[in-house]
Amino acid sequence: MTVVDDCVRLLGAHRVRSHPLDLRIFAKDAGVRPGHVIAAVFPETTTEVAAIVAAANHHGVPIVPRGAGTGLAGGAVPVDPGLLVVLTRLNRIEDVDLIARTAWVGPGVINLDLSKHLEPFGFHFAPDPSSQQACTIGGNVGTNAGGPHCLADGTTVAHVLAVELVTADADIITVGGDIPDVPGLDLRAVVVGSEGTLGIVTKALVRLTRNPPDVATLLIGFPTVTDAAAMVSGVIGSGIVPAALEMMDKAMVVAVENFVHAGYPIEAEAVLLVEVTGEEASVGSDVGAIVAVAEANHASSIRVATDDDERALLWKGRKSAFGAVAQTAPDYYLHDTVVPRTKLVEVLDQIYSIGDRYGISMLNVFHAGDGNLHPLVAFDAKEPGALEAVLAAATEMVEVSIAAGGSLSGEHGIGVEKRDLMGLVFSPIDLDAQARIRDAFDQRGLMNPDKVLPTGSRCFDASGNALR
Amino acid sequence: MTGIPSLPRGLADIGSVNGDGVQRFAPRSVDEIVSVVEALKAARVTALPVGAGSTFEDVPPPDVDVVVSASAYAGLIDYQPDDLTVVVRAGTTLGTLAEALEAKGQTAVLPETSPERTIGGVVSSGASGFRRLRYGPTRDRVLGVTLVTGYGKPVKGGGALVKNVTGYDLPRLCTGSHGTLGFIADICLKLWPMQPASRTIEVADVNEARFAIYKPLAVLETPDAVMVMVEGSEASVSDTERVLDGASRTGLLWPDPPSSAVNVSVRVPASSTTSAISVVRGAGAEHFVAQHGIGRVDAGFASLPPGAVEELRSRTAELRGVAIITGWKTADQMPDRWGVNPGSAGISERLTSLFDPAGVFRIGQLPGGL
Repeated sequence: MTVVDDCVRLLGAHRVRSHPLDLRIFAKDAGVRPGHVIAAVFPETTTEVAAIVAAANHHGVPIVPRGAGTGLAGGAVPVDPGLLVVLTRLNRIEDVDLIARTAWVGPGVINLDLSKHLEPFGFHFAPDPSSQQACTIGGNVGTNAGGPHCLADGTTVAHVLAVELVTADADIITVGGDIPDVPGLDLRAVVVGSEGTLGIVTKALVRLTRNPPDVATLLIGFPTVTDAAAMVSGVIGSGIVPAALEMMDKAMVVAVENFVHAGYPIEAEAVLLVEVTGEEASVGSDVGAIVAVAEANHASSIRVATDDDERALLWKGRKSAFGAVAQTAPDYYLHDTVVPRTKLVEVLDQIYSIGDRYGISMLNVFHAGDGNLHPLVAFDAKEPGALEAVLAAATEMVEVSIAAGGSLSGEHGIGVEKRDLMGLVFSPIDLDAQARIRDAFDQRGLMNPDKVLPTGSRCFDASGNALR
Repeated sequence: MTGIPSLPRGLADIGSVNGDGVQRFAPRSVDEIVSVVEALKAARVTALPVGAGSTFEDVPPPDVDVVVSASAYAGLIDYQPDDLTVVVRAGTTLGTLAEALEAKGQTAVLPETSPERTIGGVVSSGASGFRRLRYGPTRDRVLGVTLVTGYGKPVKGGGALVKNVTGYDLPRLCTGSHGTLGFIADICLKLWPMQPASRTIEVADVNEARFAIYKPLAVLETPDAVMVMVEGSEASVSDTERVLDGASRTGLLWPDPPSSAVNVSVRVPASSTTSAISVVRGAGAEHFVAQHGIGRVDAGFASLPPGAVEELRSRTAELRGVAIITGWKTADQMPDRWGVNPGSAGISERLTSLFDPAGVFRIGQLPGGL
């Protein structure tokens, strides 16, 4: 019996896919590197997930959980041959409680579907990654996903109160809970963002966020990137934390405008999309303050959306940015470094000059409010040496971000893509502590191995004593 | 008290012996914290990490060989107002921190308690203030830590970045760990701008009020009143005043927390907050402060015999909640502080033993005697 035979016995042949074509499709997520899949399996219940984990353990086969596969860091593909556990069929929304403002949600529920489900009640799920039409809650939990609106609301970890987890030992446990300050260690906080390395999340208790009574969306053009970045600091300095504060550079504005025809100012060197929410009186005063800061920072155009349709159109420009890039080149590579907000200009300048040096075509769209940079390199992977140049430039861009006090990833995760760069941020002592956390959950190392932590992170014996 | 059999010479001026005969260390740097932990580990003794020690003014301290205090490791390390981040040493008092932040019109939204408490104590105990309904719990503002682990290494997690998914979330894991993973030395916090205007408004119906207004700071109930706290621009708080139409006062008039002989923190699903109030009233509470929308009721009792604690806990369990003892100043033996043990299939046990193989800080501060 192989692990695939066991899975067929547990789920039936129709929920175990191992045809060569399936294996090729599932060997990729939205990242650039393929992996090796033994089979993709589609459980429908927590019990089935636990049975699959037990079977994989029995055969000593690595397990990789997967949602919609929109992740960009290679987190959802096995490096060495492994079993892919696709959780899209665990897609129920249960126990919506409008007093507690919580709901239990399956990992396969699509992010935007959850907010649409809550819309009639006047609530939504706050994290809103650009991929929200496709990405799943399970993937959001795995990467601690963000999105434009996490500037004021926080990332996924602030919106997940508990998770049901199938552990590496195939136990089913709940970490966190629906009471405040659950006694004991906050294992929930490390499971969120652990990229499937600590177990498989089969259900999440999410916090529901009230839809704001009033919203204003502004699109502001600037003659220089420096002016736009100064505006970001100016807004925060004025005592306003907007709901969203997004920046696009000229290359991206042109690509987006060609694509959605939203009336973006293509003559501007940089554009800020600013959104403020709240009660009518506060939104009104915030808009006034933001316009004043924009004028003080040499804004070349200020447009305030007059109705919901215009708001939606301005956001469509932002949210379709990555699709719009397809007109530039067939492939793209997207960065996700994060730097202190006050270092934006300095780091952007360095990133532009790295791009020039490698002769690569780069567009920028990013979460300026929280310093989360997304330089996007458009290229054609069929050109010899193109991917290598893109990856070499990527490493340099990460290095300048870290030198400015930044970090590897703001919201996409480490996966396999940035695993070997972890040593730029963490000392061997720090990585050893990270390996201890992982070991506490997974002693055999079969849960999404080869991800997040570089080889050699672990420097302790089974009792936790240092090896050197 | 066992004392430390072989105290390294260099540690002599960090340590002292208290009136109670318990040896006390007050390291002044991360290096000194590391030296102290190394010495404790080598001597195989147990230690209680404390900030100002205020938690143990209310409940009896655990039986340990030594106390390691953050009191001599205090002050701001790096404050970046434009980034809305600050890095502080664990022994910094809430008063000192608030003063520095207020000068720039900012706040770390820490508990509205004594300014003498330390940030290390707040983070270690995982305490949050009333404003969590609007700003989330303290845990959501701990962006980075330097933790001196039980095995004596200074480990960094997170950083001075408001958004960061690089590695496992050690800062949140440390928050509320009650010292069981090591000694929390440095803490980076996310800040918020202070708002110009605020109001405390009395209301009649809790749920009506919660749905009528957007993002209040707190909705609190005491034996005397139900009150909504809001902040924002003058125009927006005036608007809220009109909508709620109750007796309104300027400012945030936080109720005094219970300070009875026995204090219990009842925590239930937020939709059962009103039921939890009935439970503490039924148990004879002389005072309580309930946080609607959060599911927490802090109650004070003149006395609570062991049988009554059991009864309160079983009524709370019917609401799928817990009742935690936060104050015990009676002659009776204190029952288990937590009264519950949320199992984790051995993961919490493995985690604490991997972070503290010698058991220096594993002194039973968490549920299940961890």
